[in-house]
Amino acid sequence: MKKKIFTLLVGGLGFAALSAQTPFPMKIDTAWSVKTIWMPKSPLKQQVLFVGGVDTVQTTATYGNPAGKTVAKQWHDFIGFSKAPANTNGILGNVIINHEMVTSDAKIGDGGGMTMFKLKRTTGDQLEVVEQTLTDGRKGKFFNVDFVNTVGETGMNCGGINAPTGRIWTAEEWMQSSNPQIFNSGNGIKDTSNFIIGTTTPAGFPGFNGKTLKRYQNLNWMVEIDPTNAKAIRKQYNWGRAGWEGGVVMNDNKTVYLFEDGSPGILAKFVATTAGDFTTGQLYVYKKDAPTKWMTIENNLDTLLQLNTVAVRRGASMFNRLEWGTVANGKLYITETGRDAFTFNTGNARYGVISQGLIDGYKARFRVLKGVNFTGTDAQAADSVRAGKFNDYYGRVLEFDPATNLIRSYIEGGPLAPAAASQNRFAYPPIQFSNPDGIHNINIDGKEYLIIQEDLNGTNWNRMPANITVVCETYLLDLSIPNPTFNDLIRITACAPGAEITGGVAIDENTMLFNSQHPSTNNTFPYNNSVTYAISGFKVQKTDVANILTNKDVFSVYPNPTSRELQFNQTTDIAIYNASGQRIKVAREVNTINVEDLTTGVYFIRNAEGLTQKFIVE
Amino acid sequence: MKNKTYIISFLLLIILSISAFKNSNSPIEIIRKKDAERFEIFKQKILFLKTEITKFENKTTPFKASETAFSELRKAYKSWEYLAEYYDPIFIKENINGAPLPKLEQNSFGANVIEPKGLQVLDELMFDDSAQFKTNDIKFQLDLMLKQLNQLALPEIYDRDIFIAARVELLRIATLGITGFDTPGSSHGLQDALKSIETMNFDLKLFQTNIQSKNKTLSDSLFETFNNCSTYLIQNQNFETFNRFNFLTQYINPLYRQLLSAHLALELELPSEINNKLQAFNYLSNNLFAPNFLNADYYINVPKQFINDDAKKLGQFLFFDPILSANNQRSCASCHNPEKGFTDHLPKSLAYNFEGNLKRNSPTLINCVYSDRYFHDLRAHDLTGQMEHVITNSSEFNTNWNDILDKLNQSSEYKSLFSKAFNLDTAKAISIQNTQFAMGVFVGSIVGFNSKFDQLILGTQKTFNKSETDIIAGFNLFMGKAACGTCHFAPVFNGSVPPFYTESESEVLGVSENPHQKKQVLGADKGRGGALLKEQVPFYVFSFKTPTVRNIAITQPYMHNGAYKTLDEVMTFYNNGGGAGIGINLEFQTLGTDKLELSKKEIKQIIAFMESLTDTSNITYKPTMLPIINNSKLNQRKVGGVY
Repeated sequence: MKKKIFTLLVGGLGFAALSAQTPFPMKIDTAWSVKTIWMPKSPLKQQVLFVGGVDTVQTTATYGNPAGKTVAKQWHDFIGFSKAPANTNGILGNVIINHEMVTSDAKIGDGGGMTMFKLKRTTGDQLEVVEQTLTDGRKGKFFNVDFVNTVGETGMNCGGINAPTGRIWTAEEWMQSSNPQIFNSGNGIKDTSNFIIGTTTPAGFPGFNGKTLKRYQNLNWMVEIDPTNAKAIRKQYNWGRAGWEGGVVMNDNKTVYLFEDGSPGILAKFVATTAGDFTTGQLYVYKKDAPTKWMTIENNLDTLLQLNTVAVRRGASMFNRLEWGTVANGKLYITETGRDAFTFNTGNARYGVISQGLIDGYKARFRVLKGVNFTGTDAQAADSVRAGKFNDYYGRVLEFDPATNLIRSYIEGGPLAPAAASQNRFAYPPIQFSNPDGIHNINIDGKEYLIIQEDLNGTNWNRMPANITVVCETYLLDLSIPNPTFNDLIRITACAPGAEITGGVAIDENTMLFNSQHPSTNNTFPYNNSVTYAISGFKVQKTDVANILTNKDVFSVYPNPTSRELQFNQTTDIAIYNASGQRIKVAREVNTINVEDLTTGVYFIRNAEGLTQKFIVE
Repeated sequence: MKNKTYIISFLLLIILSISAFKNSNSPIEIIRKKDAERFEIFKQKILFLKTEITKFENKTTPFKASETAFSELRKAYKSWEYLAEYYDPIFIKENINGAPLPKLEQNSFGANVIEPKGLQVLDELMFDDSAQFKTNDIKFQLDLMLKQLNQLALPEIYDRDIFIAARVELLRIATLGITGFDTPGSSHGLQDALKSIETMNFDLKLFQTNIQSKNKTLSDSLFETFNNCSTYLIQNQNFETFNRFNFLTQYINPLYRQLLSAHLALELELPSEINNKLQAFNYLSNNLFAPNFLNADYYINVPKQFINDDAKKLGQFLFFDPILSANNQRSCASCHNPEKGFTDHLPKSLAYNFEGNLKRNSPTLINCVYSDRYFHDLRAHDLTGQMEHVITNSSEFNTNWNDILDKLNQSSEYKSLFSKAFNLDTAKAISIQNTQFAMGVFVGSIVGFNSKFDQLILGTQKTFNKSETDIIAGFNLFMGKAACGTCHFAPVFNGSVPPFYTESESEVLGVSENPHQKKQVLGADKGRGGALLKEQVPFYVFSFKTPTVRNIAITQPYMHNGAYKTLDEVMTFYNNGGGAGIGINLEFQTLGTDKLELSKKEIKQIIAFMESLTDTSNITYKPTMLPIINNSKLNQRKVGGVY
């Protein structure tokens, strides 16, 4: 008898000792009287404006085909926005969308492309694409930008420049290296004859007219677009041919910064002789160890055709895939998206210098992996980067100060923090920030915020927790924070209807435009296409975010309607049950849980201590 | 005495309470530590092999010592593998245990090639006849692995992860381990399998008390299967004679099922509760060969609410309707005829208006849905994208969406079919998107997993007749000596890579343009290397999608160019080492260039196995008439078109 009690005791304890992790029964009794939390509707409103592959674009006469109409291209990327001069009848301005895919199209033109439309605000936050007639007689809502008859085809139109004056340039990062490649067995650019600069209207370029390029060499230049007439104006031969992804034009209307998506990628600057005239001026490439930090590049077509090679050979600063940039508070914020495997120790890269962003990145990662600060010099850190001891898989946002010409890492991607439970492993922070790509800024109530969009390079290297598919997120970041960490990022999940988003551009303090590009999931129409949509209600967003996480109860749940997540005042294990008490979601060691996929209705939430609360999604 | 017992039990209680409080003895805490240890040991074994190689170079030890060190290194990896592969499969694929072939960097700014590295490259180097002269290459590979491993942070893992990871590892053993996929040089796949099984058995045993308390019978049978599985592997280590059929039916499939039961008995969260996105393989399925093993819905890229019978019926009409083509004479069924296993039995399909032929052979649509890329050159990313190419191709449907929608809109019957399927007003229901969805749903429903072979491997049959014995022998060869299963992966026997089945592979074989000629010549078709702009790299030139072997008996002729008329011809080609065996020497041939040395009898058995993979039940239905169109000319059109 006694023996039995003893065994029972030990057995029971043994069991208790073994089940260390919070067990969540698959089903719970829902008939308890519990506290109720309300999950209000998101104050952010979403409106679809332009659907690739579905909406009709008006085309110009191309390749011998008459002007007409056809289905718009897909693969939306950059959004150009040219604000209307004065707010008349609610007209906001013209929007231009990049198509990042080389396809042949007898009506739109081969290669990549762009689509233009005019946007109007009707009532409240409601937007409308308005019908208009262009000077060339085209009439409709959506217009393809004519490249073929103006400046020659483009390749994959990815990023671009939104100048403060409303002028727009488009970029193409994917370096084209041969005519057969762009011809692509007839699926790409069909006309591979030589291109002579200045033989198309209205183009031409002083100093370059009459020069002959192989067709593929006429790609990968920045191209200025006329956002009113949906026509290309000129290829910016004097800015150089490179894997350009983005750029900014400064308020002086003279200085342009250009960002190359390459590895090594370069940072370039062009200063126009006369404000507003970008056909004459001086081109520079950033070189941190040069006296002025910039080296001059001669205005010579041979040099410009291979700008990256020449610049790196001359010792330019080498970046790891620069993407987009924006100007806020007089400084440039540029995304450096990072790359899993790169080497700056072979070939031409041996001549370049390691940029400060990678040095800062190396030091930050050292701290995470080793638990101690890197005590060496920047030069030693640079040597480690060159020796391949740093995988730049998270990327960062760089800050460039035009006053000092200095660059630093403003916010690093990641990092993982050592886990509390077992020090030999690493926990996912509530915010997992990697591979920033699109960037813009928005002013809400007089305060500047960065809008940062991820474009993950993969799920490896802990970019996503095991078993979770890729989710690219968008964050707001308060620019008054001098040295932000991932804890300062504010997630806007309401922006992501299950697809990758890009192109985010604030058109005023309440509305942003986004593109959802090449969705790979089975989203509901129209989100299974490339879509341009507006999100309005950002003024409300800010105040909501500030009000959370103040209460210190044992287990308090705070709904955050704008990001569709529940937040807790402590890190805990969480299970969510549906109205009939069936377990539907479990998350461990978290202080937030994303509930954007929950439809309206009644749910229950239970924490590690077994406390259960009811919550209602409106 | 009495008091002593109480004191002891009281002390025990305190000790146990403390440990319970600290959780340090919980299964997951032990596994977390073990996993970190295994990771460290793996890194040490890499260093150790490097030391041994250096000793060999200095002539202080024979090469044999390096081989032993490599064997230890593999064991160390296989102990760490099931969790490592779980929490960072792409890291492992890119750096540690990916196929020894160049790849393209994901989401990059250009076509950036990642050179092959890791254990599979090492396996080839170490077991190469000239291994002793390649010590620098070996050391280079070891350094590469170390460099990457030193930057890896091990993430947190939980109870559920152990069960999910172990089940995925079972799939890995079945499809990549015992087939020799990840041991291209040594064929040590069976030793590896043993190490994986032992490791998982050790870790899961930590949950034995918990499982017992929920279901004693389950616990007993689970650990009995584990032990028997180890014993079987210890007793059967000959790669050529290993009976894969027995191994799968008696150990792997039962373990896969029992582990799921244990997962559910412990009420641990399921993958669907951690991640709201649908996965390609269905965690709740309990057998690698079960019809529900893969989720067709994952692949078809159609919103869940539209995957229904109405959409399927509509898609079926569209499939047989020639109004999708410009001349109203050609339908999907023209080249994908259900009576011919959804092919046309032509080497290359007829082109539009009978003007010549298309570039390639028409593949079967049966089970085609289980793929993340379409066409022989993998240029389309989903079924809807695939359709787009056919519609606009001047040699196929030669039309455009505007014309198709105009014709469909002339039919009130189609309007109501669309309206019903998509729950929309009849005026708005016909759209490009919905046409694609309906076709996707229909094509995605053309599946079959009830072939003779499926019945054998899922069944409880213990004795087999002569023809069944041949089928089983053929399967064992297919998955072993003949190495077919290292590209045509179970259970679809296509190029969808296990254990996640989210990526379609293509291979460079060196297929002859005409195997019946004396002089064998390569065709001009560049395949994948001439398709997507982002994939135009030398190692994808002449690379073609790995098709399914299911229904192969009724889908002749074979290969992307349809040049091979019989399975015998195909087997001869492979048995000789592909292109390399017939004088077509390609730098990037991915198929092993060595002869397989299969006997005539063995080839017969492999063919018997392949012929046992036919299942066309319930999918050969053809509508007797098409929806009426309010246009007398169009109403003359024939079901399935005229050619």
